[in-house]
Amino acid sequence: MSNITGTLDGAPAPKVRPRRPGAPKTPRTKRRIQQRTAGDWAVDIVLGVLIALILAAVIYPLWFIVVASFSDPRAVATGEVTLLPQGFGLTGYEMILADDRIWTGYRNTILYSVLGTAVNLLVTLPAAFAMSRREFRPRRIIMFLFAFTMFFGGGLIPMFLLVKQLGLLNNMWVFILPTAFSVFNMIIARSFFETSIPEELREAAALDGLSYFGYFLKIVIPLSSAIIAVIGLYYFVGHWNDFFTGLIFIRDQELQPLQNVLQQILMANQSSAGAGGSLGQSAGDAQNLADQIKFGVIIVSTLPILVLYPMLQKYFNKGVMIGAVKG
Amino acid sequence: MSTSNPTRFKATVKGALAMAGIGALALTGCTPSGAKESSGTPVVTVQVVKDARTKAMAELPWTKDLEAACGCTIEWQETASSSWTQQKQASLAAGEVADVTIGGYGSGDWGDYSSLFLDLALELGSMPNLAATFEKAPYARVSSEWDGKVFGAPGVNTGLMANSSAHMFINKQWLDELKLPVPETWDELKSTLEAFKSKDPNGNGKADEVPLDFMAPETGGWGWFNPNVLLGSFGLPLSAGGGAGSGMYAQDGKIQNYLTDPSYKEFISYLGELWEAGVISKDAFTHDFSKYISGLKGQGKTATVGMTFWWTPSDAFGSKLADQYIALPALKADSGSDAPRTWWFNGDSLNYIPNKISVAANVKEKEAALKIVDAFYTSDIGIQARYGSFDVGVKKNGEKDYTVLQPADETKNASDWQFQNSLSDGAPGWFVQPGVKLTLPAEQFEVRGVEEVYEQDIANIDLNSDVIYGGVSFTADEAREYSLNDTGITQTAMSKFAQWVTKGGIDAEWDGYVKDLESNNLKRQIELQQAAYDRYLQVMQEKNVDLNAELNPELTFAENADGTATISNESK
Amino acid sequence: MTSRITEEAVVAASVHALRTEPKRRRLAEHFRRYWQLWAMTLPAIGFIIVFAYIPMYGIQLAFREFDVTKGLTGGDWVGFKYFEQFFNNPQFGQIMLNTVNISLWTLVMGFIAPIILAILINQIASPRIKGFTQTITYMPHFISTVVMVAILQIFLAPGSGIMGRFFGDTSLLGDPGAFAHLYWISEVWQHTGWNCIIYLAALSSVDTALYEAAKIDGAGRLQLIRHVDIPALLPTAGILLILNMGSVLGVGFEKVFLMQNTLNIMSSEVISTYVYRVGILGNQFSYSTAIGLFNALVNFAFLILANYIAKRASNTSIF
Repeated sequence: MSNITGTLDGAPAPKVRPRRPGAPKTPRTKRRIQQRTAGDWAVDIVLGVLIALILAAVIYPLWFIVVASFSDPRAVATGEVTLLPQGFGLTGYEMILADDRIWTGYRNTILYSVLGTAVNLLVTLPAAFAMSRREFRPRRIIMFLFAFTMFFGGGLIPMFLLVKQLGLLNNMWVFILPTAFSVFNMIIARSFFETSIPEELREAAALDGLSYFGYFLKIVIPLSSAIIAVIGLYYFVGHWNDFFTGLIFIRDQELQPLQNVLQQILMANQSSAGAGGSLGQSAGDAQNLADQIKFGVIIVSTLPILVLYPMLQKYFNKGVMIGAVKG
Repeated sequence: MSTSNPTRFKATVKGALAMAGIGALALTGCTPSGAKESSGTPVVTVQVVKDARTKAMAELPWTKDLEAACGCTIEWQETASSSWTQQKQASLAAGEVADVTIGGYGSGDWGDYSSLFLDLALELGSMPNLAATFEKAPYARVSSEWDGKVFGAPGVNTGLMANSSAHMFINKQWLDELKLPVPETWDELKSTLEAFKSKDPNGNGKADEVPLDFMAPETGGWGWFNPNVLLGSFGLPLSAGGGAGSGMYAQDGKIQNYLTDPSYKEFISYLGELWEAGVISKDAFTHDFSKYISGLKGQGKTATVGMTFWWTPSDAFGSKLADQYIALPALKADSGSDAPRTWWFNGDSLNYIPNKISVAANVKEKEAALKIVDAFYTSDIGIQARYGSFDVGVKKNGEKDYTVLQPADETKNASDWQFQNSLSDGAPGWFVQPGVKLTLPAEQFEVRGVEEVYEQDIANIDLNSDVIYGGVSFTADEAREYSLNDTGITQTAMSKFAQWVTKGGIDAEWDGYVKDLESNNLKRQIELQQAAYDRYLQVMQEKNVDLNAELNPELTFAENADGTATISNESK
Repeated sequence: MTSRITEEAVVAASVHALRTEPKRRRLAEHFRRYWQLWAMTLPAIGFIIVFAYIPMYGIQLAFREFDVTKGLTGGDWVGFKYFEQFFNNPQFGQIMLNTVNISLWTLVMGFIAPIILAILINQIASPRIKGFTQTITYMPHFISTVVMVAILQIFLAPGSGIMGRFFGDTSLLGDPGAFAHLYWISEVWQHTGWNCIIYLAALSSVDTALYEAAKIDGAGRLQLIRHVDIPALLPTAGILLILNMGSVLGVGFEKVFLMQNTLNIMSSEVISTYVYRVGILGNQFSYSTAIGLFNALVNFAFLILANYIAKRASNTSIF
């Protein structure tokens, strides 16, 4: 017990974080090397083979997308492109990047994603914490009411009218407010709080006179960097990929996020072939244009977000600290 | 797997939202989008649904002429056609319609939402040019009418378009190489395709020839560029209007359906033989559009596809290969027969594109909005909307005398150039109207040459009673009843078609299939179509329209020495 | 363990004490003690009320005719007409069968795969390989559905495709029996890396002392997985399983739609594509709302059932 309070008093969150072993020399790996058994070797070989297979199965199609984005779209569609670009060209990228709307789209998307995720976390984490407290008896009914909304919704039109009445049509806040709270993510966070934060900490904190606010801010949050990283990533990627909001609620090109801009460029008039948009005239041309940029678009739209995950990975290595607290 | 992932969850929930929803509350009489005064001129919101290539409307110089014509300031709302379907759902059901909409609404919307739109028929007094269009080209009025009202004004393309979007092309160079005649019957076609497959007509030493490929038929029914055009061999007048996807056609004013017809069975069996002979692309039923259209372009100067159905050779096969191909008219199903043959026809809606521009019922600046609509039917603005601004897309040689220009930017192809600078064939207006002389570059009339071979096939169709016109439309109740059974019918028909061609078994399963379609109320569907068709024919008769004459009005077409051609309308 | 018991005893005692007090004082006492928890929940409750509960009046459209001139609440009341229309549709049986088939495959495989991947990744000793594997497997999640289906098309093309050449001379996309499998395999391929993130986070919070203790007891790697890793994943897995059970009828629209063709349509038409054809394209709002509501009811029932079972079996539950 005294050990716990000691930690609590002495090591508030910011000071603890640097102590976390983020990098190679964790005690665990060291020890593993010393204590290898034949069984461990067998496990290692099987593991190595499995990981290699998985990586191959994932990397090849990814590589294909990269290669395809530099290739002649005709060669891609007819299956001539396998390992290296055929008819190498940058036309696709030139067409994407030549469009000024792309940069506005990027700026908007980054703004909506950063701001949106901040609001998301501010709303979700406290709610998840409150919902994780077993002694908080109304939580069951509240949880039920939350979960209910994951299934039943009024639909697009009442939503459209609501957004309109709130003055959110053609307004950047429509990207942030309606999606400010995801029940799914809250449940994930709550489940983490319930299972990964030792209940003894609450008792100790209570002895120290910490209120719920204090306990949440000083103990729970610092111990939850892994789940905050995960939830933050979920939300951020959700905002980044949000195509629906821009489609339905935004008519002002200046406010359109990247995904909608790219979709506009990409879809050119793909519908014209069958639907009669352009009555067959030059549908072949239009498709060629779309094919030219189809793969490049994926790269342009996801490259920035791909670096996000490696940045967050270091927050996943934090088991040691809980161990220290408990020990 | 999406299952344990929030995104899928969200998607599911969103799906449920969209499904559960689309719940609608109409705010009738809700405020129209801000009609505020700026510098004394009225402001009109114009929603335009356009090709994604088109530049921002305000950047197109011809829109300034439009503003001058209406004496108003236009606030543009622009949506790419691919996003429109969903946007439309939300805003229509919420009663939110822009003052003027170009290319956004059609006869499918009038049923439920007619209250949101202005009946232009009552406003013709303040739209002299549209009124003149309706008077001098009465079919334009017929195709625009819905229940006696006009909610959308058309784009009249007579002289610029074709009788049919779909044509059949065969590689003439291959035929010559193999010393084969142009096939005239189904049997000849089959042996020709077999020769294409086995005799290396492209001469590259590889057996890479695909004798016949076509756009994969869609699950929603027969569409454009599908092999069902072969049914013209039996004299069935196929068209593209309502119900065409599920086998409806009109003959002598009677709606019929070929899905249960013996000739359709024969057609499927024939394709089955072709499949078995290995001359149809193995991917024909599964490839997506992009794979299909890329395949047509062969390898550089070497063609790999022998035959397909498309709009023009250069659009299908690309400029390098286009001149290897010729158009093929309807074939004889059986060499002994001299029965009249027909060709798939959608010339009515190609030449008279209905519902290109509409006005909201609650428009504030009605006068200015109507002026905008009317301005499109003056030749100056109409031509610019169709081909691009003066000196960018079109040169104005004199009063009503225009020349369509080649792209100023040489890296652009002609159709990109046109789509960037104009609404292209999405434009409202009457382009070759009386007095207009229009000179076009070669690509713009390529289809004329293609269509020459179909003259006799089309002549065998009575355009006044053998066509389901694009403008034929249901009432809201009819539409609801029809669409309910239609999915069942088209899915049964299309999946059986694909299965019989690729795996056979049509003789054993045909009777069960016919029963299946009947249990999906095929008879009732025909009745519904007939009712809608009768109403349409009645309007045509009331307005004394003879489409045989009006579809090909007296325009003169002259090819010039420099490869261009001039179309002029000398009527008054 | 002891702490759980004492906590429950305390709670029980206080509940007992509260019950005996007058209602108003009990409420006052509740808020005095828990006002901070309420304050932390309020923003979420606010957003849920505004953006989820207020628009819910739209559901009644399932029981009314849609009439734009009268508004959502003004159309004629038709009761269960649209539900019956759905159930009596000749395609109903096939559509339900296809939906459940595709969904169950995806649900089960999509549930298991990330757990396995997380355990594998957690076993990698080298932090660099570990990070690399994590990052690579997470990338496919960002491929859009359109491109994903285009890749399937290209890879499965008969003759030329990198996979198609091994599956006879027609495309697997045209094989009705292969549809559900193509669907779930591509889903698993695309999202396993992404979905295992949550499990990796759970594994990262495992007390390393547990590993040390187990090793001292002579446990091998497999035993560590069995006795340390898997128990650490169970609570998260349980919650996700319950949530997944709530999407048994929730096969997404876009991918199925793009993968459909005339050869596979009899095994690929699902509720969402049917609603798209009949409801959305046909402007049938009442009908699509009714189907949506049916869908939601079934899913919600499954969620409640799963929640109940999980609560009984392992004391894991959502509410």
